[in-house]
Amino acid sequence: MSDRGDQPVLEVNDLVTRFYTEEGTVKAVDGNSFELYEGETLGIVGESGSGKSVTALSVMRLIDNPGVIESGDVIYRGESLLDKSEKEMRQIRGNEIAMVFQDPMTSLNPVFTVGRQISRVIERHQDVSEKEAERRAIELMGDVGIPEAEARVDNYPHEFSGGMRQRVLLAMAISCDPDVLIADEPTTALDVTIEAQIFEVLDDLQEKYGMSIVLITHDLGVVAGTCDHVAVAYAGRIVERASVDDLFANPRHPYTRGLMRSIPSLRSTNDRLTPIEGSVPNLTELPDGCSFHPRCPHATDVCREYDPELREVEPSRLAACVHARGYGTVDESASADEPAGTARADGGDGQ
Amino acid sequence: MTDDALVSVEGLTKEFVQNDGLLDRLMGATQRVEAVRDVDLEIRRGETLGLVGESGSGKSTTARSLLRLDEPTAGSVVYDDVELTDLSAGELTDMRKKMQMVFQDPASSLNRRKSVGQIIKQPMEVHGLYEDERDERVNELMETVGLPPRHSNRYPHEFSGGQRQRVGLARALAVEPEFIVADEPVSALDVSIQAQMLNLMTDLQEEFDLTMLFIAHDLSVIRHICDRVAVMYLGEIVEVAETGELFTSPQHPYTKALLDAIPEPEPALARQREALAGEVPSPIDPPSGCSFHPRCPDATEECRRTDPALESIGGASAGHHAACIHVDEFESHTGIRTDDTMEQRYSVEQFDHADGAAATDGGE
Repeated sequence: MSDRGDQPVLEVNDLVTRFYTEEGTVKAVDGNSFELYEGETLGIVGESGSGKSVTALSVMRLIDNPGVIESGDVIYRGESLLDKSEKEMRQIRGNEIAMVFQDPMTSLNPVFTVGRQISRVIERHQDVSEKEAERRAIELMGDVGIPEAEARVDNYPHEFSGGMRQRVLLAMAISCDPDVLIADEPTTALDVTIEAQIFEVLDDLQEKYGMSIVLITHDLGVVAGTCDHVAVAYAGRIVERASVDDLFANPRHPYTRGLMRSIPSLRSTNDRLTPIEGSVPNLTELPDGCSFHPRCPHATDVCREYDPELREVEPSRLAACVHARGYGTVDESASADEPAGTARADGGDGQ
Repeated sequence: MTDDALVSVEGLTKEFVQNDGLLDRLMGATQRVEAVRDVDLEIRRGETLGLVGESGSGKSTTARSLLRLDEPTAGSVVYDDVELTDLSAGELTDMRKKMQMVFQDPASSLNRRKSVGQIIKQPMEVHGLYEDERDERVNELMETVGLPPRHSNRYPHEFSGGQRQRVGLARALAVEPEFIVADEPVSALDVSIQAQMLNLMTDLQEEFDLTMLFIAHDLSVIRHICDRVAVMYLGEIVEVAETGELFTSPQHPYTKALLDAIPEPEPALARQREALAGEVPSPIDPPSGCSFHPRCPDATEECRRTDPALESIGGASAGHHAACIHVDEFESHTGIRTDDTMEQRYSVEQFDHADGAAATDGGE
């Protein structure tokens, strides 16, 4: 995807994150790669169990026991984050890469005022006086569209609505002017009207602060409206990557197509929906071959044996399906881990 | 009330009394909150009526008051010629076997310590029905909702979210109800599973001749399952119409704004999404006049003073009502244009298959 500028801000290569639980090894993220370029919004979309949130937490190095980042790399502005000490990571989190989570109630401390919570983040990362930090907090609350910020700075989280609390979290996330914002389902708990407001705010912030955004979501409508590029995840793998327009014009992976078909369309006159049959596989015992094959209308014998890697199927488009036109031939006798003849596609620009 | 109404609601009002502080109680200072205000609603035999609105609109409270799970403060609920608000507790229990509920969160609405077989059996035990054939019925019901009957001795945590919601449906169907209230039954499910569930509910409704009240905040879900839709805002119904007409030709500014706020899965359309300003006000201190006026793009001075009644609209289909003083004559094509090309675009046949040009027939 070389048309997106020279150097990505953030690059994830072949990332593998596993959880060693009593029920078995959970392959939560199984070889994901993507790049985030300056000023763009990259969507990672998938259903539960797709590994989209674990991908985000791995980038932030926030994976706790029993989870382990097994292999791969996370490169931020040319430097590997996996090589950093915990102390260095603490400087990067918030300052360089910030994160916003789904649930604004559990992410805010109920016993401190919202203003204090924002200004503490500022004081922790920047050498400023308490007074200056509070002034910044009020300014940030204004930036995220909280009306009468000066008066509301002394309110507690419970005095805020869900939408306003999510704005507070956004203000905290952008308080140190990060280069990258990772937003994990930032509007899932909100009404659609409030969600629309939050995305307007995000859009304004992106323009004002020049951030690049990774947006993690299950909602294809949100992806369509806010993202420039999209990675579609299924069962721990990214199965398709494309620009947002290309993806919606012609999804090249059967899972992406299945997802699009499942959405109840506002425009459709047909009452019957077309679901994807079956359910998401258990990540401790993934099917052989392509993880999607038991639910795929195009599956053949090859799919039961060959685990397809993400490949360029047309310029600037990647898909992990042996039946996608342009995927090329596969050596069915090769083991899934070392596909013969092709390196794992890592963005396509070198091929 | 028309002849084919199964449930007829008039003037339904539900007040909650708030006196949470000790001082408040000592001083006798109580705050009354009207969660539902003067709601008229008719649910026709065999139809699915959708109830839609943002959180805090009172849709769940309306449903709960209607079933007398919350005691209504005022108003009448006539179910099949019986006035529910007059019934004694015992009589109400008897009526309840005709009315069942399906909840949003299958994880918290199913007893974790009981097997799904026991869960599905419970309503039959409560109502003393099917004494000698309960196990057999459990198997039948599980099959009906697409669960393997051999799993009847498993526990809820052994099922996925979608399967648990199927258990909830089987439990609701156990006593052969005529009327089902489904409160956000699919909003916790992944989109591919949500579609399975919606299709199942449509099938069951036909098979068992059910009448449904379907509560959802997601208008696209409502679009697919409901025959008619009532839109609620701050405890009141602001618009009601046949589903098709509500989506293509919404008349109330709030319904229009709700539709405009939905991000459609189509980049060119989703980018045009328009956010409605403000938030749902607190019912403790509702705005004067029309509740929606502080957020309404069309509000005038008069809207601050006049509380509009839900009235029929000249030129609209029968039964299309709106509560807005600025709606006089029906305006068509104010909402969503219907378009089936998206569905064709993502069809299995249109997959860009390696074995065929645009693989019109899969090429296998």
